[in-house]
Amino acid sequence: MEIFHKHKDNISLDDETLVRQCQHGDPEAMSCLIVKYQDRIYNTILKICTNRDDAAELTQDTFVKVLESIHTFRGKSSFYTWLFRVAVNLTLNHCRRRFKLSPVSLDATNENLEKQRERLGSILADSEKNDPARIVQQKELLQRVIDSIGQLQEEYRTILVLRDIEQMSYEEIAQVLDIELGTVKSRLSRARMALRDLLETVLT
Amino acid sequence: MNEEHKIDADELISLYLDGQATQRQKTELKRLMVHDAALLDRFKALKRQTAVLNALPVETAPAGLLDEIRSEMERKMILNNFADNTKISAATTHLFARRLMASAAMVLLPLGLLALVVFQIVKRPSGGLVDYEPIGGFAAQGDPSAGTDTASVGLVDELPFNGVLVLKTDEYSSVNTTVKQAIDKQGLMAQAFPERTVNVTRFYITAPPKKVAGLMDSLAAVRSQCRGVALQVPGPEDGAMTEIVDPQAKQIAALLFEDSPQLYRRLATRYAEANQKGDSVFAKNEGDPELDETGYPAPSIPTLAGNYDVQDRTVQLTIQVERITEE
Repeated sequence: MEIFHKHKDNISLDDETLVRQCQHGDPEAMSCLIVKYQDRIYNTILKICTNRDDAAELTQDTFVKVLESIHTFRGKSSFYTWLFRVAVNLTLNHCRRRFKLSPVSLDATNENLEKQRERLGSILADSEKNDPARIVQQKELLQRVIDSIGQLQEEYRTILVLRDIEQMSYEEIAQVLDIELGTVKSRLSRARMALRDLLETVLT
Repeated sequence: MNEEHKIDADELISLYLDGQATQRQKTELKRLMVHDAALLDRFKALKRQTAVLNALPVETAPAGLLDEIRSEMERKMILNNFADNTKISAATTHLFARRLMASAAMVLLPLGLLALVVFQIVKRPSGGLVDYEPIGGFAAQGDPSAGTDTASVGLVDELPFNGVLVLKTDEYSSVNTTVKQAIDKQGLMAQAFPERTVNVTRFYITAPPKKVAGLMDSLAAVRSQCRGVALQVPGPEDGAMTEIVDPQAKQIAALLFEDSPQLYRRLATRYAEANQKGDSVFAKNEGDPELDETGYPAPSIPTLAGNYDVQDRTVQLTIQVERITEE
């Protein structure tokens, strides 16, 4: 049974049209929505859950869940925020389950953070000398930043990823996380400060 | 600087960096930074941090994600259709049963009345019934074996095979996908019910042995992605399991099609022992009456229950994919 076809030309169609076609059972429209958003959803989930296998499965689960219930979508919010809301909720539920199964030692985490700070400081010092290994070190720096995001509290990590990586507006974040606009501002500020504390030696 | 002031200033920085600060907030922030060197440092640090975050590489979704979603959607559609059909069938059956009962009532009610009239006619004035000799006297003979002989030998729908194929891998997602695709390829999606946790996925399959054998062939390639493959089947003793390490396709096929429970258990035990030692069970062994010249086990003696084509019967297989987590 063939229900999907790749018609990338249709990706240029706006979400509203694609969703309407999906609601009428058009498999091509479903395919277009997946191709259009799969990288962004995967990237966001990966930055929150920090595991590639889990991110791939959660991305798949997100699209299956959304396409299964697309007939219930009434357009009160945009499809984009609805899709990300499902993705974030699935990811956070998964993270909570995983945390329950394998709790991390706080002592070990603190030790790792200290080592990470020292390492970042040395990377920054070297990178400013503009030596030939700078590109490699910059890559390592980016990886350290990603690791630091993973060390943040769940709510800080999520809002930081949505704003600074997915580049969502405050209003979109409020819809995805189902929180007030004022909460978005204060939580985002605290999240940035928390990350800055982790990267203190690098960014000051 | 008090704590409240600090929190407000940090929020101002955040708003400013996002282009969300009003003109008044911008002016206020600049004024604060002129008088507070620490705040100015935080501003610079956050500005650089935002630039680094914006520069993070965008990870692309794994290839084949679209196909995986398609397979999952198709499987769910099949299951939903099956459920809908079942509902229709149940409703139809219920309606039919009601009509049948109504018809039976219409027939039985006059018969019951007629029986009552006859009963009144043949009833003795004393209250007893007329004595009749039973025809042939079967009931009077009281055969002790009556009732037990009538127990029919029911057809057995399942072959003895009931195994768990364990795949241990550190490429959990990829192996899961391959298994799903293999099941799909064999047209077994409707008979395969997956159960997934973080580290273990189980696919419960009930299907004819030929289909399951085809599935095993499709899974040959997945072995290279696994650190351990084993087949667990019921052992010779009740409750015990026999584990066949690294089972060969021929071994699995032989077990799948085996009709006799006794020979099935013996074969499983033999395979387990041979694989443990690294021997080839399918090497030519003239002295072995249970293996024919092709290496497959000789057909067992047909039983009453199994005296028909095994292809019409089913086997149960669970494919269990286990994630190997790094220490």
